Amino acid sequence: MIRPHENPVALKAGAFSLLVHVLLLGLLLISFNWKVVQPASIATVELWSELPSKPVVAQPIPEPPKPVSKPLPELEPKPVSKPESKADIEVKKEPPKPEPPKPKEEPKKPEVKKPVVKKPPQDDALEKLKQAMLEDQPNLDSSSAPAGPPAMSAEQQGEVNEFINKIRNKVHQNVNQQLCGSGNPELEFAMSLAPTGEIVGTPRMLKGSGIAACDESVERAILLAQPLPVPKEADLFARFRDLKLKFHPKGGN
Amino acid sequence: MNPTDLHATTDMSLIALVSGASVPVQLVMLLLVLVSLASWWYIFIKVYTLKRAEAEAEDFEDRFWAGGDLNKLYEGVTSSRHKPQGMASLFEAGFKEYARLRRQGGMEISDTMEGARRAMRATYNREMDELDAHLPFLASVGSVSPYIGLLGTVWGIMNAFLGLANTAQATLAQVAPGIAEALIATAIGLFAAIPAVIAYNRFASSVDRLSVRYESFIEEFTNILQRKV
Repeated sequence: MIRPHENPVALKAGAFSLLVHVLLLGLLLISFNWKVVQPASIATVELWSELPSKPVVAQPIPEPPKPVSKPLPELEPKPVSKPESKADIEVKKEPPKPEPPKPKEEPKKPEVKKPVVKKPPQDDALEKLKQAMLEDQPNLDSSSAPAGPPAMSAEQQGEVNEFINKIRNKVHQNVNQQLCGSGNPELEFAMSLAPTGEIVGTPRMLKGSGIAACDESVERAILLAQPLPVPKEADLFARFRDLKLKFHPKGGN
Repeated sequence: MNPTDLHATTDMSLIALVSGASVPVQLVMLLLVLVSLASWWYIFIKVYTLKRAEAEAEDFEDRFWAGGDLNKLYEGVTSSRHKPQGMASLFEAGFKEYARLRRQGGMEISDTMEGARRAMRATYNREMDELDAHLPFLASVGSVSPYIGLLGTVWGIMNAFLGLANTAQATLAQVAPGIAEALIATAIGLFAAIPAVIAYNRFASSVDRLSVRYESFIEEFTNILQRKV
């Protein structure tokens, strides 16, 4: 291994050799970022501070009679509405009896509609109840079908419009208007929003301008505008979950 | 929402990577680390010994060409505590043989010269062997250790991909650690090979220059001895 004449330097050389390796190891440890950041999971979770509507799943059966029986006793038409609605429920309940979960949803709608049809000149208390129930309804059905505008009060509609305008303005800042030609075409995009205002997936174009560059520009602008301004209130946000945004690249609604 | 809350940090330290590797890859790494240590050891040894041999040759040439009595020079070389090395040992062997043959008497000049020359040749070969020591090892390390490292890497990557076959959805994150730990083997192999190759080339040229110096000294010394006769 080692020649005799090399003995005097062997120890020194060994020490230097070790030193070189220690230096390299140190360099390796310092120069690399050994901490690796990995996304914990891809699933995104929406956190709601309060439930958007009355618990539907938790108490499916006791719910339907409650709104009828509880607020109504305070009102005058208690004897009138109660038996009638009850009779209605019983009549309706009988055909779908084999399926218990269905009657939970169905008896509710007739109740709402009944007072409107039967007693148009009701006092405002009943009107309020109707209003409240209509407000609840979109939230109940929001996952399956977005509720129509009639289920909103003017105040809420105003707020929703305000937020839609905010979204339009924010998107507008990012649009390259020169790509959209001389006209002011109307584009329509559908997108799913998270409560943070971020777009889930990509926006789908429902109606294009006819100019591919313009369509792409608007789509980019929408993506760039994230997070979009959305209402903090859970009830209001429900209208933004599946948003259809009409958009004019040159401004105007 | 703080984005860092959504992420988990994992410590992919060097130790974790090495200990996570499969046994053949670990063996390859261990072998390469040992080889690297040994080659650096030899590199430093050669640096010192070659430097000393060059300094001694320089020193001896100065003394030799300064003129003066060859007998005195011989006395000085042999009387030192250490066994003469390098050029001094060539001189010592040649002069000793020459003096012995001269004392014996009754020989042709050419035979005396031939004897002295042979003695110097033999010493020259011994010296060259000392100078060449460990150079074959460095050459082997330089040429082979990249392949050993590559073998470890290929093995580790094979493992990583075989493990991937069991998962339905293959992501880069599943193979990346395996490949990273496999690549360490190549890194160690290259770290052992590159200095070994550089050192081998440098030392080989140093040894060549020294051997030329020794050979020309042998020729010149033979001439001087012949003139003395």
